[in-house]
Amino acid sequence: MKILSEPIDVLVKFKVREKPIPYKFRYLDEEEVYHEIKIDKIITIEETKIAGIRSYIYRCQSQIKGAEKLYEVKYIIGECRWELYKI
Amino acid sequence: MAIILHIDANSAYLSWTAAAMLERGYPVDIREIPAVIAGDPENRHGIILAKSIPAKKFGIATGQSLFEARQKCPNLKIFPPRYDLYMTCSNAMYEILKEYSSKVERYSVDECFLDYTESVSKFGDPVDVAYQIKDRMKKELGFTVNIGVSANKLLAKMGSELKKPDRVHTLWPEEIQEKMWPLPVGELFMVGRATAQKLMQININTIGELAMADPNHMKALLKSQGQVVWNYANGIDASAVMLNSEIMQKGIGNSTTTAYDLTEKQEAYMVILALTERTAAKLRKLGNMTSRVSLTIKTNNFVRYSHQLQLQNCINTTSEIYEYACFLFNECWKGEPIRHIGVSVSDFSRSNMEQLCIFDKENKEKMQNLDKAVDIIRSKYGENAITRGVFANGDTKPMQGGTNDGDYIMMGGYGL
Repeated sequence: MKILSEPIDVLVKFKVREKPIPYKFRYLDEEEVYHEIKIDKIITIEETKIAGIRSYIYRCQSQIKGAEKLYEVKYIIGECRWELYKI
Repeated sequence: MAIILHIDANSAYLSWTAAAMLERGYPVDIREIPAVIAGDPENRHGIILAKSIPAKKFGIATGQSLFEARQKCPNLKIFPPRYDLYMTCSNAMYEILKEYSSKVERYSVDECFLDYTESVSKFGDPVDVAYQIKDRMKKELGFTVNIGVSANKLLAKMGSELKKPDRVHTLWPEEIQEKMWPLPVGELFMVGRATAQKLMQININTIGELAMADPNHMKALLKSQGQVVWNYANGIDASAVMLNSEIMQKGIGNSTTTAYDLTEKQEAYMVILALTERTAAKLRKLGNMTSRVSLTIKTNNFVRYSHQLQLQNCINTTSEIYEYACFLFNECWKGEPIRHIGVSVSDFSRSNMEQLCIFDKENKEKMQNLDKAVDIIRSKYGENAITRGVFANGDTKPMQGGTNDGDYIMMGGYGL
């Protein structure tokens, strides 16, 4: 996987005391076309604070163009913002 | 015996920038190439703030001009400072340290002292814990630190300076002779360039030679500082780790290098006002009043002079401090182009009790209320939410100097 760090739009579910659960997201490709991806499975959630920046990294799996793909999305807590972190 | 740890982030500004950049997918670790963090040369802030270890090998030093550094290493990579990131990193470092002791002193943005004495029974051997802290910083925060372990603050600090990066050093009193005494005298804490030169003139070149010298001789040569550095050379330091809330600040100052040389009085007044805004706001935030105002000027030829004024009464309003600062400016300015201006206040008293003065301004209370309102607005909506009319539609920024609103100095400790 390669680090991308691209800001994305995300639909998120918040449950009582749990961490936010991303449901689906969309991103703009180079041709300015939106791609929508439903998150099929969240494999792990890890908290990091590299350089003091607290974030949750979700390792996820989805069907993308017919193939199962692994990727990571990141929630930056201090900025309340999502990124497609690695793919 | 006390046990003190000194934790020092390795080339802090640079490695914090590196960690944040790697996290965002930047292809190289700027700690491993000749790279520096430097201010913007366009605004004449082009000095080196931090350097990578490969850059150091080219002879690049903190405080040098960017121009000089580029001559030494043409392939040098230059990155701008990101003070918000630095505060975040510093806070994260402090949070980890607080897990190990309730007594952590934030000495500067990248240095902390930790009093481990009471924690031994809970966490065990200090050296093991120092290694643990060092490894956690690297793993969790993505940057490396040096840790010095010893019996007092001075030795812990000297210990963390020994070999860098990413190391733990002990410098117990019995190790002074072997580890600290062979170092050049200029490496000793509180021995600056001028002091080192004076000592070298009398053939004191190493810390060991200073330690062996007669303390009375040192006192005669360097006045009261002589005793201090002699004590330090012998590893004697009784100062305690202080929580930052307990440290009494003795002065507050604020200065800036202007983007171009100022030649007009009016322009200088505006910069002074912009500097005073922040100085006075901080003075009020600490709940203090001042009775001494000083002003420093550096001309385009790097000649520096300052004036100060002892007041009869205590003040804390921006307008009054500004007025005195302008008076000082008129007293000392000889008309040459100005490169750098600083405004500072000292000689504090608490603002909850005040000696009234017959010469107080009639509208003093009104002005104080005005400042109080402005402070509240700024803290709620940002410091540019309300600014003085003179700055409207002009190029001068309404608040100047200072890089971040920490209660401690960004680098290097309390003015030492």
